[in-house]
Amino acid sequence: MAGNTFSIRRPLIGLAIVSLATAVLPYVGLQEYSLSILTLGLFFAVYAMSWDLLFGYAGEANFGATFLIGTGAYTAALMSSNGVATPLICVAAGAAGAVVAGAVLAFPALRLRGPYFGLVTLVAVLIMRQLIILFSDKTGGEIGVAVPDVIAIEAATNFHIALGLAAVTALVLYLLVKSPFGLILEAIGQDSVNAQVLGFNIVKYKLTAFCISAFFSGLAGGLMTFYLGTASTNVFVDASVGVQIIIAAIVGGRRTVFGPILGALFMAIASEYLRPLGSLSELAVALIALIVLFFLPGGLLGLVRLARRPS
Amino acid sequence: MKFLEARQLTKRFGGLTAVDKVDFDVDKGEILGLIGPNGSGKSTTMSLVMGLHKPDAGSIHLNGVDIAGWAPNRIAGMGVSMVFQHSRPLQQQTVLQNVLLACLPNKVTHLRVTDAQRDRALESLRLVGLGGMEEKFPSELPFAGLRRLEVAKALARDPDLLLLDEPFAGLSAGEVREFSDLIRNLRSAGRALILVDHNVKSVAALVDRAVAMSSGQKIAEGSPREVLANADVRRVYLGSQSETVGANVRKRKSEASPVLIVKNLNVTYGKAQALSNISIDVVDRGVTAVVGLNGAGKTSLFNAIAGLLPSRGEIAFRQQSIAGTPAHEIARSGIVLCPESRELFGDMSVHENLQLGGMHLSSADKRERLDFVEQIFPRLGERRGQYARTLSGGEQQQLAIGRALMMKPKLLLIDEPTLGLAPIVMDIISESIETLRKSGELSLLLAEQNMVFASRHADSVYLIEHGAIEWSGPADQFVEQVGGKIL
Amino acid sequence: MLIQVIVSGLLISAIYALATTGFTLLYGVSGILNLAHGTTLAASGIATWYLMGTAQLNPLLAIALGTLTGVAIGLLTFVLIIRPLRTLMKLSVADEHVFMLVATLLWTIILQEALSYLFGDVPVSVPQLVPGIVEIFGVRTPISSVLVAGLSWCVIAALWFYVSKTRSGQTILAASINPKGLTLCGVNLNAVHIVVWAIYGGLAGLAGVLVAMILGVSPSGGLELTATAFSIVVLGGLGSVGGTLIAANLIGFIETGTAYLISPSVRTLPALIILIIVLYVRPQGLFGRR
Repeated sequence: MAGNTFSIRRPLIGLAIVSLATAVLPYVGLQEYSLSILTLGLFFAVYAMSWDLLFGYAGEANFGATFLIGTGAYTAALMSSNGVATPLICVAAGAAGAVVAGAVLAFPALRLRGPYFGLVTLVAVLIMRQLIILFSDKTGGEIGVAVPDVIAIEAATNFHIALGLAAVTALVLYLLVKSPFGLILEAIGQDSVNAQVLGFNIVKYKLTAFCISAFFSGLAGGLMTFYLGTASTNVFVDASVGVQIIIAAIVGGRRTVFGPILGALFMAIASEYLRPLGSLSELAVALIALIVLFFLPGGLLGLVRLARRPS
Repeated sequence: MKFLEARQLTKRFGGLTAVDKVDFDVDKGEILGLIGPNGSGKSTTMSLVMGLHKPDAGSIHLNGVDIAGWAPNRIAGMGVSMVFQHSRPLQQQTVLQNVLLACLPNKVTHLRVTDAQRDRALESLRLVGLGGMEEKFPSELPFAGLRRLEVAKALARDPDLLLLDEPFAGLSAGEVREFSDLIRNLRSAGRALILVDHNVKSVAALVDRAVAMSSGQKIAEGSPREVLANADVRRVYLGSQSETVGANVRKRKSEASPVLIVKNLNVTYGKAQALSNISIDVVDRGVTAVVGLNGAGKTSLFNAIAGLLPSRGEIAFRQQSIAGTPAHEIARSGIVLCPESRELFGDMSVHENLQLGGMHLSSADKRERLDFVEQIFPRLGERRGQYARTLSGGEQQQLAIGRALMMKPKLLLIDEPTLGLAPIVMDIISESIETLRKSGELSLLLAEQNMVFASRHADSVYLIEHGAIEWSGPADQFVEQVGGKIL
Repeated sequence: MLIQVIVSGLLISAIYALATTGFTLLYGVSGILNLAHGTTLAASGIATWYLMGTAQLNPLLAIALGTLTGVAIGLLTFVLIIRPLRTLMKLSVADEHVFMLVATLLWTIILQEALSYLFGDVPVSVPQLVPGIVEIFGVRTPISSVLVAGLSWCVIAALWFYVSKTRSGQTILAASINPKGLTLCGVNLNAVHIVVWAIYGGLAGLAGVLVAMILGVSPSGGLELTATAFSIVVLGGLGSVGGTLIAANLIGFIETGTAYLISPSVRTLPALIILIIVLYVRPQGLFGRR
């Protein structure tokens, strides 16, 4: 924002440098297996960033992140498997579908107060899952839809796609939250009465934020479907996947845009290292998130911020 | 036609009519004071104008348009701004960004701050005296600075109608003067101001006209001088002179050491100093009164003594320090608070409320105590099975005191025992206080804005203003020495 | 067919009613929506299954210990999650809601994964207590199911008696109406909370055992149970015990009907859709005040 050009330019330069430095990883000997973990981590980063636009800024806990992601993934997958369009169009349609579905869900839900918004979004995921199972002749039920086409086969290319998506999402969201729109959204999240008295229509702003969140979630969902080759409920339409996204955003740092990237990568890598623990690995990750929630409300990135600014 | 015309404005919360058929007008270039004690409905009236509550009946015409029941953002769009008593600025943004927020249009596609918006924000900050603080964070501002920031936000919208909710609350005397000047400067030909305050005196010099409210109704309107002289207003603030109960009680000087000693007590809310260096002694088996206007700090003092509010300083009950003791233990030790808000169990019967007060007693003790309470307040005996929330205000007050008495207090703190009560109920409360005094089993500490009531019952009186003791002494000297100063 | 739906609906509804009264009680007194509710039920059910099956304990003893498991988890939730969140973080009311949901959700994952690790993530059922079948209006029903339904209503009646007729119960009721008033009466609220969480845990524990008998439970199925409980409670009106009981019957019948008429795999779908519609039309629930 005006008057603070430095504080906005520096993080963006940082984002560019980190993105470029990460982009060369495939050429400096990082193996395909490690790349695949990072690729999934970056998709998760997009989900977590999108989720935090609502939680961190608009102050709404959306427990239905996978409703949006799932809409994107299944729209893309069903179009592709029925041979309707090329992969890129399928992905674009997925993003658009997520925005539409998100708006239909959020417009009435955002009028609700207290815990009801969270509840409605949670229930939306459960309903979608049941519908997919109910119409399993078309959706493949619990097994999922196989996608015949691919966007890219090489691990490095897929990694770059995910990295590019994450970088663009981060850029757009960062510019957005630093714009007047973001300022108003944050004001609404912190004190909605005061924001209304200043003349802002809170439903309009929250709905816009929800649609933006839905767009990136759906886009990433569609792209990840082509990366994985299938859309299945356990990956895309699952309340516990939604929980993983929440954990990533909180561990990384609420209300920071970049924090959730850190959180998502941390989770992807941590669960890889903790794999020998079996099902205890998820327990460990949840425990870490809980500890971060209690003792580092600003998350990993918030810790850095706290050190830099005297309060 | 006036700029703002409110007619027959009514708002009910459940059974309580918070605003009852209130009429008032404000014109551009005018400052209207909306005054009345706590709970009189003045803040609710303001909320109705801003759209924070929807009126149940009545109209609010702004510039000829009926805005009653609109959403706040639409009303804001009509040129109305409001300054809240408690500010909650964005902590991660600078002071300038906080004000810029107020300059932005209600448009999601507006993504860049224009120079004009920036200039307007800077100008507002300069006007309220925060020039040079643009790049500071709200956490770095003093309490009065935060209030200025809120005013700057409202000003930045260049409102035609500006609503100020208790703008002087929590400010020191010097800051009050500065703020009065600031508000006076806000008046211009094109702007109407409404100022809500409980303190008649502090706004008298500032407002052109005043509307006084009590129990949701308008009781007086006119120039500040007329309103101050109005008999109903004086009764609300000072209490009626006609009651005789307790007047002839011989005030005694107690030789016994005080039952409660408070020394250098300090309470802060965030940055606001609610109490500074308060010291009081509570007469053993007598009645001590703390008087002062609403917002002076009486309730904070009582809450601090009862352990509901963290404080610094010494509090000794019967020579034992109780500072830092949890609230429920203080209550069990014999210091029982009967708060202004009464805190009854609304969905439980009168009898159940009293039972809960006496829950630590043996059943024989409890029965004996119930008889004692119902003897003092026969009404409670008649209404035994009725839900507490369905009682009238006066009955609720009796139940609140009754429930506190069930705990066999050694020291009973009653916060605003007569606030908003009809004279006949006031007499019942008066009688009960005298009965308790005669029983000789407990000491009483009263907080009152009704000075006459307080001085009639009390052995010794403390006057508290802006969180500090302004005067203390025997009750009989109070009215002559201080009475005139208050109203 | 219709009679069959009615009979099974009645049985399921009784368990649902029991499984949600604790949830409502907790919300009424502490204002907390415990997302780990379903997992608490599952944990108690699984514990009983283990004690009865693998450890070969006396069935009644196993049920008692399973209920105690619920009490233990309830107390742990309070001590490890709720109290730290309230004391460590100075949150505004709005933030507290959101953080409480997130924290109990994380706690759900921790419980769920611990259960999976200890017992494996497979659906388990507690064997029926009494063998045999009775005919009710021509519908062949296991005696055990009838016992379970009867027990559920007995426990609910006992809870009602406790809250309205005993001193301790009155204290809890008072705490839900006005906690500050209760402090002024010299009651330690922290102690009240511990009692409430213990009662909650006991109700959830017993309900979990009964759910495990009739429907079966699994560690990862906890969240779905929470959603059902949540739906019932919201449908009935948050904090309204009477509304909860009616809504429990409503959902119980709808689910049973769906399972018979459409397919058991989508038994929860219509109830969820009704919930969404109710929320949009009447956010305070069917019987909620305000």
